[in-house]
Amino acid sequence: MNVALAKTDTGTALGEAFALARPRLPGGGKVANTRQQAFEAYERIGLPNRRIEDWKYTDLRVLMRDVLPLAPAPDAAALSRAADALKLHAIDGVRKLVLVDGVFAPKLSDLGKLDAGLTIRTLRDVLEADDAALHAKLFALDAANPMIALNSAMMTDGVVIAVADGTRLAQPVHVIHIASGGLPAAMFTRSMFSLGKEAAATLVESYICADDAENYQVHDSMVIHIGDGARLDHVRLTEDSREAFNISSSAITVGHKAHFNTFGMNTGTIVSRYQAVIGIVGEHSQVETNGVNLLNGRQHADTTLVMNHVAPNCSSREVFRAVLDDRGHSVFQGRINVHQPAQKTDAKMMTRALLLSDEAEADNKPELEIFADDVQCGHGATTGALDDSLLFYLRARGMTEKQAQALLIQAFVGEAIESIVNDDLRELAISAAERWLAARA
Amino acid sequence: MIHLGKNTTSRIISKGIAAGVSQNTYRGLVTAHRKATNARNFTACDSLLIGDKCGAHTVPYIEAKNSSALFEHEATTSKISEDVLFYCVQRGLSQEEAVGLVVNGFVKDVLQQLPMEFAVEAQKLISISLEGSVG
Amino acid sequence: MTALLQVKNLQVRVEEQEILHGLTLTVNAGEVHAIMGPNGSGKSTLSHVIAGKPGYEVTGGEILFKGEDLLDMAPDVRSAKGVFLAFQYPVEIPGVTTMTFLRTALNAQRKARGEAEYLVPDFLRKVREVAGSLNIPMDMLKRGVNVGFSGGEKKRNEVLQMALFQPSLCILDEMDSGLDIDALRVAADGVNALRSPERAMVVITHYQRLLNYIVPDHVHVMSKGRVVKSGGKELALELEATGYAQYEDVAA
Repeated sequence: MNVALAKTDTGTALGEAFALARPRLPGGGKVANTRQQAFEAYERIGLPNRRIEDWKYTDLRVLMRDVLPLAPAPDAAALSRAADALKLHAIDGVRKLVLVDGVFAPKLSDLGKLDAGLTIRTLRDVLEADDAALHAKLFALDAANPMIALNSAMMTDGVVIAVADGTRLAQPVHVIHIASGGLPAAMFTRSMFSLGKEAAATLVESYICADDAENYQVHDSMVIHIGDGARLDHVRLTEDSREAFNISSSAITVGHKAHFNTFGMNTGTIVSRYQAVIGIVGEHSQVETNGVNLLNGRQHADTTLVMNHVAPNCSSREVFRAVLDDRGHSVFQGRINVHQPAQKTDAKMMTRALLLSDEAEADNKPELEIFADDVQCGHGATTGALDDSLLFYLRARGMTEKQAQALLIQAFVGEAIESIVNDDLRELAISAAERWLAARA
Repeated sequence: MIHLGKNTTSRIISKGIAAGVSQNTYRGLVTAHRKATNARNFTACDSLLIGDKCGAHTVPYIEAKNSSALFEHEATTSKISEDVLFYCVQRGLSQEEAVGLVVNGFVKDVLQQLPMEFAVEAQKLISISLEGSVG
Repeated sequence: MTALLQVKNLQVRVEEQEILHGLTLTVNAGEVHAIMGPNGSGKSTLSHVIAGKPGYEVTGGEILFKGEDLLDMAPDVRSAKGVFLAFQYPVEIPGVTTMTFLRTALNAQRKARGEAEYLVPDFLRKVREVAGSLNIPMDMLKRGVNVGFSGGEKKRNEVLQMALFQPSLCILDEMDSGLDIDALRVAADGVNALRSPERAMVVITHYQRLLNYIVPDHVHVMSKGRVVKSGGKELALELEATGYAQYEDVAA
């Protein structure tokens, strides 16, 4: 392998960062070994570059210029800045679980009156405990992906949430990542959400930062298991600082007769990548994934989704929208794999990009890999500007150019946002889109 | 399909048929550069699967670098519907003829673009390569 | 008194080709003018240029609206000033409900005129009243703008907007296209209800049929980018009998 290639300045610096961080990383013995192996797996490939097919449009050798040191555990000042940031983004009626600079912050979280059947532990506790089975699940993510391997090596904390069989959580769980805005730093986190049989829950993940936070790096990962007959509604909102870097990965397995509805929206960061692998392993299950990227300035956002249909009689829907202004660059890579046993699969994917500026760029790679013949699979992709005749109609009715554009953009992203089932969360996404549009005007 | 000039239009129609144990792959790049204003592309990329040991792979790359480019891409994968086959067989066609009929319909968009003599040749080729793959 | 609309010697090009070669037209408040002519005579171009649709190059002449130069104004400014174009083919806007669209447009116009914007309850009351008078069910307004509307519904939606925005100049571009007789009558009744001494209408049509329902005060015949004949409503009937052929020569 190309060990030599990994030894770019960034690559070397990451090795040093790992060595420095090791004493602080939770988990001894076997966990420490697994971390070492993960780091070696990372080093074999190094920072992904455009020569690796999956990273063709997001070359981290170019985009990730500096290696930042592991963020220190937040002190009182950092926690207080985080608490201020939290006030602006708090949603009513949810259970908040807050990570500040990659470390769980119990004082900012809602840990009281846990519903029966809900358990919440920190990743640190889980890694320090002797629980090989749980450790195996936490390390089950694809180690061939260098950024996941790096995350496995460096993860400091996170939340490990379990919802017991038959438990239907009335209150959404809101995991909030806050960058407190100290010195430029990197945070590595991993969380897990296991939903038992016939259980139901809503999981929200937000990435936010304190007022003065600028340059920082988020490396997050999430493992999700959805049991037979269970339903998970999932919303991710990335509102990191405009200088921030966010690489998040998730691995989701969907059981039998289960339902997974996920929505992601990105308005922040300078460089981001969200990579998710969804495995539909049980029959008669249903997955809907929807995403919106609203980008301007020099923002680069990459959404890479793999939908693995392993079991027969399942359906999946992917709807993705990108709105690009200035030099915004959006990447959507969606692959639908239909394995040979997955007969009667019904899989559809639609990605659309709206370019508001001549310097924006939209790259779409919607792939189909089909090994079963009795399937209905399709994808569509469109790229274009706002329709002139629609704009003129709206202006002829008295709207200014910006107003007319805003209305059409809202409608364009609305199709993806509408998929959010929870009214409050849908409103949250709509208002995030409105904030972005208002900032444009 | 690389659009470099202004006001250019392209169309890609790809029809892949995989029968038996064959694998069919479409890989295609459509791109419009910064200065290629008003570039238009339409891509349709359909796969037909005959039998349960074959595979279809569609890997399009769609890169738009200016706002006036309008790209549309569609891909579908399907098998020959049992209902359609039954309908044809009920009307007196053999199973093989019925498949041939459906396949010819499937590839018509492409073949009708060819000069007559090539179209006839291509149609013959399709029926030869389908021989024995149904059953 | 200043005329509401004065088009003076208007010359318009589309991509190097001159479509209007010096068109003159004066419309006073309270009047209904019909503009008739064969396909390609420039009728729709005139309506588009008055409303400010991009893609037309005005190479000569002027358009004054209430004495102000219209050509310098953006389309939304013209709209706020009271110019309303009922489109021949109203566009479909998926994802934007008619209600949202109406409120955004009405408030944008009011804001531009320095008037207070409507609050949601007041707006709803107003729309309900206007829609009720046009027999438009409220369900229709919850759908995307013109999405899945029949030809008749689309035109009724245009009339609804006219009634809601209360413009001082309504230009109806081929309002009869794609409508059957019943739908045409419903739309025309809506338009007639809006006739008033303060408001003028310019009805663009190929056929005389529409003018049975919206009876004009003046009729102009266009051919090859000019008004070649003007008269009273009897001119429309005369045209129906003789056709446009005689005017092709006049323009040539």
